[in-house]
Amino acid sequence: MSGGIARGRLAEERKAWRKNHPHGFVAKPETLTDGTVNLMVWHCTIPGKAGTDWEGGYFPLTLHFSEDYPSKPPKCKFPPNFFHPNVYPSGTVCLSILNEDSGWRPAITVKQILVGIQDLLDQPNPADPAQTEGYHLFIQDAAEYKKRVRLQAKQYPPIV
Amino acid sequence: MAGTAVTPSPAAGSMTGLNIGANVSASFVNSFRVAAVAERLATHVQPDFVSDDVEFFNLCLSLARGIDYAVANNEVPPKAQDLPLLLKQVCQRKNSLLLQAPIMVLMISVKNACKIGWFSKKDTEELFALANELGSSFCSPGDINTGDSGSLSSVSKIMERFYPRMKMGQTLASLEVQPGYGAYVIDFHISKNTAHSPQEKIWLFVAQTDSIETSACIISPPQVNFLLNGKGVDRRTNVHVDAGPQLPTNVTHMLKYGTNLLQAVGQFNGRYVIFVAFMSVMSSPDTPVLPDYVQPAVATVDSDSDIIEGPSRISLNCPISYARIGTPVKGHSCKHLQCFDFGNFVNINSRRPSWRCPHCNQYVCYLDIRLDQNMVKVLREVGENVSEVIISADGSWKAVLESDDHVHPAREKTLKCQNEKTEQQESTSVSNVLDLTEDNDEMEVVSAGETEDRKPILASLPVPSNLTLLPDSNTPNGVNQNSSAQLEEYLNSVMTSSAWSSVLNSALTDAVSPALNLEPEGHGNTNFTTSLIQSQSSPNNFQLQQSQYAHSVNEYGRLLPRHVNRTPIAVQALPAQSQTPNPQERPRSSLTPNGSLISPQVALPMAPTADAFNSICSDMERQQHFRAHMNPLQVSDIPSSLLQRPSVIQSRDHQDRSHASSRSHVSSPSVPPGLGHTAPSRLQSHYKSTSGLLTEFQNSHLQQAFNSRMPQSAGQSSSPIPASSHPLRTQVQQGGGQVGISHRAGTTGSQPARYLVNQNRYHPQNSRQAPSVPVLNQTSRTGQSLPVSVDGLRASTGEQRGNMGGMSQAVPRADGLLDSTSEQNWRPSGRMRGSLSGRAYSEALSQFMIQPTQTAQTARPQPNLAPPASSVLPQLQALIANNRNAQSPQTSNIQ
Repeated sequence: MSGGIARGRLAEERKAWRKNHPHGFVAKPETLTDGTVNLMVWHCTIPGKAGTDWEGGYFPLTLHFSEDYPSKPPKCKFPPNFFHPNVYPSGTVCLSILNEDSGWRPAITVKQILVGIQDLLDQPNPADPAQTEGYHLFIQDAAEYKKRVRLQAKQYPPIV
Repeated sequence: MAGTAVTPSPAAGSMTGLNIGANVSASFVNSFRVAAVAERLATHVQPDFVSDDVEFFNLCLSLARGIDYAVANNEVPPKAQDLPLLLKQVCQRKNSLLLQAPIMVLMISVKNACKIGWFSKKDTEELFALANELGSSFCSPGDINTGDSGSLSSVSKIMERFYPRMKMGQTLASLEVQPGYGAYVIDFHISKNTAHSPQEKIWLFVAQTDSIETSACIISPPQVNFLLNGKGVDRRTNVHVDAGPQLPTNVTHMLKYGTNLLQAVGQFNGRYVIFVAFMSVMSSPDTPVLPDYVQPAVATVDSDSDIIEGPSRISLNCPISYARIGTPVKGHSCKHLQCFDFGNFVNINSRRPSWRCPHCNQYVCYLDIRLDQNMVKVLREVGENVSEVIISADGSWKAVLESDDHVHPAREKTLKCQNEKTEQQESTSVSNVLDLTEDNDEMEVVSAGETEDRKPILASLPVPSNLTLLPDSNTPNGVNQNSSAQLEEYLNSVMTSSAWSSVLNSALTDAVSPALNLEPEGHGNTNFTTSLIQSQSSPNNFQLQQSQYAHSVNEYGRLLPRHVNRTPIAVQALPAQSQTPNPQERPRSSLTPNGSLISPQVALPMAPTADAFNSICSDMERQQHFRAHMNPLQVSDIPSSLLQRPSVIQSRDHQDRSHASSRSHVSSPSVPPGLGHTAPSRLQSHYKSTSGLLTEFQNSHLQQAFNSRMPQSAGQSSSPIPASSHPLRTQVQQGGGQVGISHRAGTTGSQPARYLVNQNRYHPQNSRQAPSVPVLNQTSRTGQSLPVSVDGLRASTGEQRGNMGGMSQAVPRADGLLDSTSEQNWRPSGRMRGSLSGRAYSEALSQFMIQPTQTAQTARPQPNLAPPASSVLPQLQALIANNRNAQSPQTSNIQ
């Protein structure tokens, strides 16, 4: 019925992103084998915020959009086993604005998603843990948590 | 018996859509059959006759089918007036536990015959009373209406609020449900000359009637299963619940001419109304010209004045599409100035009826949409190039020019340049990388996470990450006991007949025995691939080494080793486009499987960007899923095609299985009671089969309890078979199903077989029916099965099939097809503790295995990666998967 909406919106998102986007971020639809662009999957990079333990890390994030986008939010995935209390072991980010039943609205843009996830990196929500390790270290062993975060930031150095 | 043995089944007639002449003879044969069966049945109810229960059982079913057929064709058999007496006598035997179910089946058919006036008024009343009395032992009493009489005012309100594009036609059945536990059954019949327009399909409509103000009322009750003719309705069973607001479900393909049965079983969390009705979907015009659409602008700017103090900047783009608004609307209670586009809003809500303002998330049902005249004016007057305006409190506006956006034009510019450069670079490198990868299963990746992403249960969270394996071996028991208990409860509630439940009980007790059959599907797989790899020799050693580790981890459902490092080195080392052969790199023969095999090596030096990395990452993930599923259909990357959706669901199912199959094997020996005796081999195969069977289990039970003629008519449809073999045949068919399944389960060990597994999935009937009665039109059915399952998943049946004509075709398919649907949607109904421990397990594995090996084992000689060119595709893919998986560890090595 409305198959075109998701793609149309994503084309607009892309346009808007190319026109203007926050510094250090990358967001780009996937290119397929035949050279065509698949708007339904975006490969992004989120820089760790300056002044936080996440600084220096450029974290790869993949957005998977469904045909029901923007009714449904995209699924946002870090690499599997990404260290963060609110990231599932699969890498999926658990964030209110990405949850169809709570904070998601069709008006939320890719830019807002990425900036929102950047904020989440340094401000995890211990009330809604998605992985064991990150959560436990976060609430029990702040020093080790910090260490792990910094280590992970080193694992994802800047691209260029 | 003799009578039925010679008559062709009525289903065969209805299914093949005979021409008129043949139809006449089919009707004639049917009336002959009804007469013969009735006669034989009459001898059974003679006081002095020693009745054989099994024969009686079959006669009941046979008579029910005969009546169904006649009802579907709107015929009255000549001997109809003799039937009531006979039926009353038959009903006297309802206390027999074995015969209760077939008598119920017969009476359901009789009820429908009553409705079209076969019998006198008095007989009709008595028969209804009998049927209801009998039915009360099968289901909870509900306010059941069939036919048009039951249409409710709230339904039409719901329709106009939330399904504006759907028009309801004739109601086939309706049911009002009170809160609490209930097992409701409605039977309804579809006659061949039921009036309907060709656009109309039959839909299942479910809504909560406590409050119909918001879209929250069009949910499916979360703990209720809906079954039609014994098959779970997509997205409306515990197997796959969609929590959000739902569209009505197109169930046309699940129905047949004659008697149909709708069951709604479970805990209702409120008052619900359930409808089965003809509905048509209107394609609305692109521009809302219909008077209904254009509401007077009630909520315009002035109503916002209390919250707006200064001028506000308003986008002229729709927050849904981010394209220019065509028809500016908002909800009547929206307080913001921002509008959205009417067409977009109706569009997205026709897919997913959330009916919330895209800007403020308030509920805005179709009737709440208001046209913002002020914005209409702005849009008309403003220039094309303006995308934002500033609106003052008094309603005046001025355009925001593009240049205003650029606060720091200089900086912006440099940034932009940089970006463009990067993007350019990226695009080359990315395309190089992707050139070599398989991007067949994006959707799988999308779906994969859904089942995985369960919140850790805090209580059971293991504190250190290197866990013992203990929890792993313990949980399955718990899970299984749980599920069997649930099942039992569930089934008992559905079928109070204790005969069935006793069989069931024994089956379940059996089920819990050999318990820890934890061998995941992938095990055999591992060996297989590994040996295959090792049989070749090659220079690129450490990669493979890593890959094997990665692989072994993966077998336990783990996604990736954690120490994934990116390598920035390549950027400087090699220009992005460079194809210079690396010592490790092979010549790119990118199009061949070989070429794609080595892609990670090629990609590595050339893929310094995040994108490349991502693609690798996701490739790895994908490959894992891919390897786990080997779903050939995922290969299709057809944009927006229907294919994608089934594959999503399928892969979800796969995912579920990969979680569940290792753990809930125990509960899978869900032996349908058949007719009381179970061959040992069947049990065997059940032990092997995956937990997806749970669904089938339920279904087959339900089906057997109520509707055991379904599978039979399916069998009969293709070949006339002596009715005397009914019980036998039921079993054979069941057995057939199981053989099909066990075949799958048994063969999952090897890659090519996995391939098969998926094929089976897509052609479920094929594998199920093959071992049973020879089916004449099997091939054609197989051919149909794909579209059919697509139908099952999305409501597009109609296009595939000529409406009612199609429905008759659906009879034979119903079995395999619906099984497959429900199976595909299999999903653990509760939180599965097992999955956590599975992850924990793999975490432990990764700790023990991967970290130490990272440096130490790089030098060890390893076999070649390149497979013989003749390798079977699935094998190749497994290798590719391995190779890909090796990517990240290797990367870290280099670093």
